[in-house]
Amino acid sequence: MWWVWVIVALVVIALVVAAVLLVQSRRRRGGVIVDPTRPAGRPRRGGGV
Amino acid sequence: MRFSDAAGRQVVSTSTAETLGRVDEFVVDPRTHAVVAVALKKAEAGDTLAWSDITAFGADAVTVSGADKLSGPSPEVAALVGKEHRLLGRRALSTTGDELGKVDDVEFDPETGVITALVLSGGEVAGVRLIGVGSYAVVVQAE
Amino acid sequence: MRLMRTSEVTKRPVVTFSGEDIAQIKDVVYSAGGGAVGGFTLAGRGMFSGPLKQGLAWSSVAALGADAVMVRDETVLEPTQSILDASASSGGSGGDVLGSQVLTDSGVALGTVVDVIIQVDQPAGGQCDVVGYEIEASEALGSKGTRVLMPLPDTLAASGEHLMVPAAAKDFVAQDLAGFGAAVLAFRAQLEGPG
Repeated sequence: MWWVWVIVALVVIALVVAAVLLVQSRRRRGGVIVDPTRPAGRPRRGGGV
Repeated sequence: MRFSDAAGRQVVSTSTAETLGRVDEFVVDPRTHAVVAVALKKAEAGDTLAWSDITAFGADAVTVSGADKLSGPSPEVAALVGKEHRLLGRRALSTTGDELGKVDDVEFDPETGVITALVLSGGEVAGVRLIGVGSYAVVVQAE
Repeated sequence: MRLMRTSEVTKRPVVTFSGEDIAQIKDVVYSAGGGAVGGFTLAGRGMFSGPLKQGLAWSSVAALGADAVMVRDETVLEPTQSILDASASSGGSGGDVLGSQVLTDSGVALGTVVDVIIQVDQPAGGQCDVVGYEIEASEALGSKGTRVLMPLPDTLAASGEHLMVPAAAKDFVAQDLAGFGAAVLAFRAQLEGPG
């Protein structure tokens, strides 16, 4: 049943590639922030600051 | 004289007439825009020769009084030595943030070690305009 | 006087005069009132490095060039929060304008913001202001889906969701940066009115 391991390996590789691409595209997004909010703590991550 | 010509030149002792090593790299201090030491290869006595210990930098050989002049680098020189302190082939960046090409060659005065010009892919730049040499780029003062 | 897109500036390396690249530009931070760019947030230089805790104020920038943002040395960086605070408005409704919808004061959507145009007085020092947006046009502009450049009035309301522009702005759109400088001046002259 060696082919099961081949499939598992391919799936793992696909997941790793997807994760790397996701991390890269997140980082790539340099934003342009207008009137930053003045919060008490750290700025929010994600769509805004 | 140019870095590209001088690289590989033999270093000879005037007292024993032996070849002590060959010129590998030039160690430059951007603040004085001058060569402060020569890094050597194939040298058993030591891998660094301070500019002040050189008797003469001739067209065919660099002469020193003896092998005792070669040594490991002094602390100031050690701070400057390293891959990121090479000039040849490095990216040249102006203080205005624009790239000026690569450093193709460096022109220096063999009597004093002072760098008279940087030959960049875009043209020549006076040696006094050398501001910094770092791991990312060689920084040149804009006109 | 140089016009640039913020998409060109983000990810540009921040290099000291000693030739070390200490960071790369992450976000551009500006205030809607006046459009002045206050500074930048930074990210590390490696492949997987995240945002840095320090940012770069515009006043600390020695030069913004075509290939790098130059600074005197790494001590000019300051805590990111102080960069954000300096551009914050009392309303504090801001966010990332990329992707926000451009609305006229008469409630018509002109498009979505895909890039921001800044004007730098000279590469070294001087003022840096946001002067316009590149938007993907809606039907209201007549050429849905194309990208056009729209100048900004001096002050406008902006949040992470919408950008309010005077209805007249749609008469001053330009197709490329070459014509855009003139469009900005013409637009602002018109806003100021005669006298």
